[in-house]
Amino acid sequence: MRVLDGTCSSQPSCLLVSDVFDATIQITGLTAPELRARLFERGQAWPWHRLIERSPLKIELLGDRRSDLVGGRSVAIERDLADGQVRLVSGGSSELRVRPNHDDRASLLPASLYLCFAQQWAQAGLIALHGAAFVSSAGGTLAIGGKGTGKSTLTTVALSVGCPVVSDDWVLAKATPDSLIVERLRRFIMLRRSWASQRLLAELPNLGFVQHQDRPKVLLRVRQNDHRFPKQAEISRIFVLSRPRGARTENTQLRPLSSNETMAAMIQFSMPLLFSAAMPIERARLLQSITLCLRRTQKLRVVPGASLIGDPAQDPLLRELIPPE
Amino acid sequence: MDRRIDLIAKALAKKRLTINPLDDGSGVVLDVEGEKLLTMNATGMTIIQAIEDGAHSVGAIARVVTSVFEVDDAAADQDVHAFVENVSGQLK
Repeated sequence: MRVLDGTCSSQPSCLLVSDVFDATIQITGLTAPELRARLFERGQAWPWHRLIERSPLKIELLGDRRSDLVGGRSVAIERDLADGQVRLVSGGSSELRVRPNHDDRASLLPASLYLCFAQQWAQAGLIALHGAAFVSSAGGTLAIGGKGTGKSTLTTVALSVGCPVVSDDWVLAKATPDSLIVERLRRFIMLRRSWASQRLLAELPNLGFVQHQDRPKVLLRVRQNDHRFPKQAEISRIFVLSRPRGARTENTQLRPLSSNETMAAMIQFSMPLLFSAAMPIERARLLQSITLCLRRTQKLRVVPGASLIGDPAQDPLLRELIPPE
Repeated sequence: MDRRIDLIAKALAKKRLTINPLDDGSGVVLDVEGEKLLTMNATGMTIIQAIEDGAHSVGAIARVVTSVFEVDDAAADQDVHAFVENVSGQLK
C-alpha cells in the first residue's frame, strides 16, 4: 500500500494505492503526509479534528466501477461514528464530516475514514479484514478474530518459528477463481503485550520491537523489501480465532468450520454494513469474492491453548502449520 | 405464528435483514439493527427466501420446503415453526 500526492489542484488531496490489486482511492481534504502518519508511521501524531475546516472529505475509488453490472440504483445511507459522520452512496463516492470535538492524537486510522476506505475497496471486490496473515511451510494462513482472541500470540508464534508475517491485524483480501491473495494495510506490526508475546519476543531480540508510548503494546516498523515481512501472500487456509469458553485449555483446539460459519466470521470481522441490503453494489462484489474464497480454502475454528507457547512441539496448531518432515 | 412470520417479512422489506447466500445453499442473514449474524443451513435459507418472496403462512412456506427438499409435510411444518420461532425471537 502506498500513499501518493493527489492530483486535485484546488484542495489538499492524496491517493491510497494498492501494491497488489488494481485499486486506487482518492481522498480529497487529506494530504499524503497526514495519511501516511496515520497508516504507516505512527509516532507522528496530529489531531484529527484539524480537518474540520476541510470537511467534508471525499473518498472515491478511481477508475471504472462498473456498477451497472448489479443493476442497483444509488442509495445513500448515513452513519454517526465517534470521530466523524459518514455518508455512503452504494456504488459511488463517500463523504466524511469530521467531528469538531473529537481529538484522538493517539489513535491510528479513524473508524469513519476506515469505513469509507472499506466501502470503496468493496466496490472493487476487496475485503478489508481484521486478521493476521503469515506463511508457513504448509502455505499461507489468514487468521481472523476480534480483540483478545489470539492474533498477537499467533503472530508472535509465527515469527518465533521463522514464518514470514504479512500482517498482525488488518489485511485487504481478494479472491479470484485461481487464488486468494491478502495485502497488508499497515507498515508496522503492533502486538498486544501479554505474557505469551513477551516470552516469545524475548527469544527474538534482533527483530527490534519497542514499547509503544501510549498503549500496552510493542511496535515494530516494517522496512520495505524485508523478506521476513512480505507485503502480500497467497492464502490456503482460514482460521477463525475464538476465546476459550472457560479457562484457557492446555492444547490448542482445532475443528473444521462450515462455509456459512466462516462467511459469518468474515462479515463480522470486516464491515458488516457493507453486506446489508442498503449497499447492494458493495454487497454483490463482496459476496462474489467470499464465495470464491470459501471454495479454495481449508477452514478451521481455532482456540489457542497454552501449549502454543509452553510446548510448541506438541501443539496441534503448530503441527498443522509446520507438518513434521 | 402468522404474526411472527409478518415480523420477519417486515424486517426483510425494511432492509433490517439481508440474506447473503452461498453457492452450497447455506448462507448468513445479517441483522443490521440488532448487529447480529444468523448462520443458516440450506433449509433455513429456503424458508427465509420464501418469506421474502411473499409466502406469509406456515402452510405456504412449508409447501416451498417440500418442493425443494425430500421431506414430508409434517417435517416441513415442524422446520418452519422452529425457524420462525427462532428468527422472530431474535428480532425483538
